[in-house]
Amino acid sequence: MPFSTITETAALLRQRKISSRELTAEALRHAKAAQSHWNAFLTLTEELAGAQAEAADEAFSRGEDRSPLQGIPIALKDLYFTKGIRTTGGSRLFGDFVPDFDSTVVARLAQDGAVLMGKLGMHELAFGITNNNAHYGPVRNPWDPQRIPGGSSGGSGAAVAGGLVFAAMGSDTGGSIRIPASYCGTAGLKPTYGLVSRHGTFPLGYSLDHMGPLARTSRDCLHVLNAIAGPDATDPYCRSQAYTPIDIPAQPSLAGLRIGWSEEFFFPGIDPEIRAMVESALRQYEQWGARLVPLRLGWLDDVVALSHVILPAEAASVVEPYQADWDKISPEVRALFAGGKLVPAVDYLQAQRLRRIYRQRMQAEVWNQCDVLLGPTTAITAPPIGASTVTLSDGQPVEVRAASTRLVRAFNVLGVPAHSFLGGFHTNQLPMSLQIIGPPLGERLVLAAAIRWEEEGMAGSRRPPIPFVP
Amino acid sequence: MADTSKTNIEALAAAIYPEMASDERAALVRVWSAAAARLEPLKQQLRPTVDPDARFNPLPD
Repeated sequence: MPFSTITETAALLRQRKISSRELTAEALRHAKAAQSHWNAFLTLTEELAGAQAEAADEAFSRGEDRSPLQGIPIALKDLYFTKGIRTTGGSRLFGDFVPDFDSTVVARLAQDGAVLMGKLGMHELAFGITNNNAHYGPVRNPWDPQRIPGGSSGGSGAAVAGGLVFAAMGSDTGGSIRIPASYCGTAGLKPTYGLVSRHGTFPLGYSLDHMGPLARTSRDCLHVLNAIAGPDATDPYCRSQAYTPIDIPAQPSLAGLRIGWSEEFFFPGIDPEIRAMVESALRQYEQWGARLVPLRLGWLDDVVALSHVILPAEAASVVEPYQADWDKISPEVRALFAGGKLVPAVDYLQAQRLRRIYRQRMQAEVWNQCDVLLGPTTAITAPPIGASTVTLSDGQPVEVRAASTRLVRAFNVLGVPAHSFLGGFHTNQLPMSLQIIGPPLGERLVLAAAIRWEEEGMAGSRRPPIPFVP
Repeated sequence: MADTSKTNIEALAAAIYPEMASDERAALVRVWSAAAARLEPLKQQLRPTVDPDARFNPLPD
């Protein structure tokens, strides 16, 4: 069971071939056994999981069927508020913080019958991509425990990739869902800005934060999205329009889909094997009836530059009330927050104004020409823990932070949906991932393209080595 | 328009973080100087004659 999908498991639950109690007990055993190897969890909510599993089984007995998530074990990045359960933000600042309410996402998952297994490790205060957490220890990548899982939602990536949960919630301010999805070989969706409520989550960048799922398949991400998306009066930036659940048929047709791609933006400084994988994927999509549209998108690097102004300023604002406890933040992360106070207000405002101009440019030069963009998620595969630079297979040295974030950050600034999914495997045996980007509210197209890839078996069915007996 | 020259960033850093070790402060200045330098030429797009409607509205329509 550990590596089956929500779709498969939901069918078994409905056929009463397995109960949620059995499923949850197995998942808890697996999570406990894995903890000393991967350090994915910060808190296991064993009692709550047992009670929710029992409730799900009883609901099935009564013929109630709330959603595909009913009875399915999931977990949360530890920045989602959970009533009565410690929520640390991966920081000592909030080491003893116990919220008195559930975040909107948590409440909706519970309403749909999901079983909460616990809270997952993350990069401290979500400000970083390694998950090498100074307070709670590094989360390790199940494909190679000497490597990072990516971040900041690294516990989410590791728990899903390692078969500990079926899906995990993450958050993405500059790639923090897609980077761990890429390094851990899972699917990970950053939805359109405001499609999913952020009420009851620790912020990092007010105008850049997006909440979304990681799961073993893109269809499983869709199941979670359908559970959590939609208006929320308690989040002023949540879209007010009603959300209609998305339904995507098996092996969806992509005939006529216009797929944009850009050598200029996506290929400089990337691992040659990742480039070859992307080029091969483009050809494959063309065989399925898509039309490829080459674009000149070097200016997306200007959008990335805006992120380097907006994010530090907003993040510095988030932690300013905690100046008295500054020493509880690790020096590495403290330096990032400290840098944000050097951003002049005028520069922050100019970056925000430019953001609007680039959104208009995106419409004119991208969405008027194509339906989705396809490229890699990260320029490299998961780097070793502690590495600040790595060498590509063509001998080119690259800086880990830039190689992890450069291809994903622009889409936070633009607020558009961006989805990472497993493209294939590198000769170093690590996952390589594709990223599909769509126009605002283009989740259906983005996920359909990824689901087609997965349901045609293009990424294979490898699993990470399990170093313990579950 | 904000003066984002390196000298001014150094002065700002010294004012905000007087207790910080000089090498740590220099690292902050280096990072922000690079980001500011990258932003500066992009600001030309904000001249009102080019885009009179480039107001502060980061939210998707």
